[in-house]
Formats: sequence, structure tokens, C-alpha cells
Amino acid sequence: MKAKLLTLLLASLLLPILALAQAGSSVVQNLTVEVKPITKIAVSGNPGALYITDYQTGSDVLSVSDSKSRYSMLTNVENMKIVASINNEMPAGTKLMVRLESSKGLSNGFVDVSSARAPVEVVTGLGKGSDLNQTITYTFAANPSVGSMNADTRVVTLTLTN
Amino acid sequence: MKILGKIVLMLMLLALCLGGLSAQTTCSASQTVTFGVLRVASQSVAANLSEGVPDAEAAVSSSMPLKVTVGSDASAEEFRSIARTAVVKKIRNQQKNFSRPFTTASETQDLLRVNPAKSVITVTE
Repeated sequence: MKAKLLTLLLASLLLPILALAQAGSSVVQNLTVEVKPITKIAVSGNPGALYITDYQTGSDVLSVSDSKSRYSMLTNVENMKIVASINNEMPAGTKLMVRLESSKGLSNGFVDVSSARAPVEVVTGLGKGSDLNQTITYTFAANPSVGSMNADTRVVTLTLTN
Repeated sequence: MKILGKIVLMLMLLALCLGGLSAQTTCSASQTVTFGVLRVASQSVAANLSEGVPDAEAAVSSSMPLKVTVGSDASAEEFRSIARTAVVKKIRNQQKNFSRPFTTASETQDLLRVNPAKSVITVTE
């Protein structure tokens, strides 16, 4: 009788352990996911030097162009645009124009940035996605009254913005 | 306790502002553009009035602006003009020294006079 009681007591002690072993275990983690607005624009380098070396027959304006540089952009925001600005105004009698090719938005064609200290729009209506390796064309023009002009530089900034 | 509440509220507002800044949708890239006007490809458009011809005159017209060069050596002088017609002359100095002609080159309005004489006058575009 005493042995039976001891057996029952032992079994009752082991039951919770068995119950625990069958229930298994789990842990919980909370993941926070967010996609922030992304806007990236990059250029391939500087354009070639724009030197006017002679008057063109039958034209009152001298001009020279370069289309060697490219830009790429990426965004996950709708209705973006690219604006251009220049660090200093162009010398009197000269003009600097820029045209950005675009397969995702609407290019404004050649845009005069000669005095664009405040940004001017060059591409509009850009939606989500990327536009890679697009051509940038610069045109430098000078009136015939402009004599020889030593090489000079300007910094043109392209900004992808909404 | 109220002060603590206000501090917490300000911190929350600051966090919201910083969050707004980090979500700014603007990116820029810059290019340096080099430019200049170099007149190195001019071509002569008129026959030179050469040395040994004390009295000579030539009228030149062109659709392009003209450049008059007096002299042919390192000390040559250039007169650039946007005029498209030029008259160049070599005439004798008839007042002081008959043996030494002086040279003039004239555009439609401005007379360019060089003394002592430089014999060769060239007009280029």
C-alpha cells in the first residue's frame, strides 16, 4: 500500500513536466517596415570644352555644342522634375543652354541657363522608376561682337526634386 | 509634472521635424562647363597690300566681321571690327618725308593709322 502511494505521488509530480514537454514554445518579434522617398541623380562627368573658334558662314550667332555627358536618375516618387542652375551668370554677349534627354518625363528642350542663379525646369513629369544614361547637351553661343575670350568655367547643378 | 509633459511634447515635435527632413525628396549633381572664344581659324579675304607699293588701296566686303592686321612680323597690330566692309590704303606721307610712306587701314568709319609704316595690310574674317 505504501508502495502504491509512493508511485502515485511520483506520477503526479511528473505530470506537469510531461504537459510542458508537449506544449512546445514560441517567441514573437515585431518587424517595422518602411520605404522612404528615394531620389537619386548622377552625371557621368563634365562635358567637353566649348570653344568657338571661328564665325560660321551666314550666321550672326556663333555656337558650339557638346553631347558627351550623361545623367541617370532614380525615384520612387510621382511627379518629379529636374531643374538646372548656374553658379555665376555668363559673360555679356554669350549664352549657355542645356537640354536633357528623357525617356520617362518631358524634356523642355534647350533651356537658357545663362542667368539661372535660381533653378529653371529642364525635365518635368517624371514618375516612379529610373531613367538611365540619358544625354545632356550643352550649347555655348556668342554674339559676333564678342572678341576673343579666354577659357572660363561655370558650374551647372542639376537637381531632381518635386 | 506639467513641465515634464511639455518637455516630452517638444521632443516629439523635434522628432517629427527631423523625420520630415530625412524624407526630403531632393538630390543634386553638378557639372563644370568650360567655354571660350578663340579666333584661330581666320582666313584671309583680301589680297595683301604688300611692301614696295606705296600707293595702294583695296576695298573688302564680307558677310563676316572683319579683322585688319597691319604688319606681318611679331610686332604686327590687329584691329578687330564687327564691320563687314573695310577699305585699306597705303599712301605716301606727303607732308614730311616723301621717301617713307605710312600706312593706313580704314574701316567704313574709323581710320587706323600706323606710323612708322608697316607695309603689309591683311584683312581676315
